[in-house]
Amino acid sequence: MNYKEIAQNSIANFLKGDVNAILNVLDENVEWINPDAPEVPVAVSVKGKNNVPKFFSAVAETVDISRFEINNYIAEGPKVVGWGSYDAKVKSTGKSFTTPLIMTWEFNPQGKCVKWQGYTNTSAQAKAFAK
Amino acid sequence: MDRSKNIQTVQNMYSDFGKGNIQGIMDVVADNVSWNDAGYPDLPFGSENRPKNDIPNFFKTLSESVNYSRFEPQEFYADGNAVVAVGHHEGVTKPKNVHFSSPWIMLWKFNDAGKVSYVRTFIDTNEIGKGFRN
Repeated sequence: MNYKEIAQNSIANFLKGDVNAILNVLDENVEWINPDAPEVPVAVSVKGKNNVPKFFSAVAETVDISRFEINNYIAEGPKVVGWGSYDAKVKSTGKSFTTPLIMTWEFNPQGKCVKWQGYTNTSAQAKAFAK
Repeated sequence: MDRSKNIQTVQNMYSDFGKGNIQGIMDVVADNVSWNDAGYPDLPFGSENRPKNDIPNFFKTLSESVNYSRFEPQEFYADGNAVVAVGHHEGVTKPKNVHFSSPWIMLWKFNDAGKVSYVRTFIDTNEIGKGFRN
């Protein structure tokens, strides 16, 4: 499996709710980077594979995702970029948002992801999280 | 597709941006470009489906709403007709003088004529947006 396929697989596993399969392709010391906006609980950064479930828990606990599409991928060397968009409703406020989403993966030669970074329209998300 | 040529074109666009040479950017953008700027509709320079003839307004609005102390493309990679640029920007918003500093990522796609046909930009819109809210 090449790096792009590993990334695509991770998205497929996210859609299936299989977080363990996502964790299986992460390096122990992976950097999992989001904007860390305090107003946006899903935009949390963590360091280390053992802490990545905190990110997925934050997503599961705070939003209901009704549509999630990463349908464009490009790759060069160990870097993969995927982008698309998603729709979600914030559980605590009942407000919905749509945001474009782009993410980057960087892999080591063993095929493990050492750095993942996500970018969204955090302003749209913050408005939906605001009470 | 010519990988190095497309990356060079993107690098030239950032160089033109740094010099304020907006015409240099316009010259390599296709007439039917699909151009979205981060932060629509909350940021003054956000957009969806901005037509080519409105692109100068993006740069005008950006210069009127942001004072950059740092705008730095850091990495480029390419695949087929696409180029990804990753960088960092830092500055203050105008007129409120609120500091921002965040990574950015931009996607550029090229048509067969070597013109830019697709642009998507991502910044931390919540962070910079604080500098525009009342």
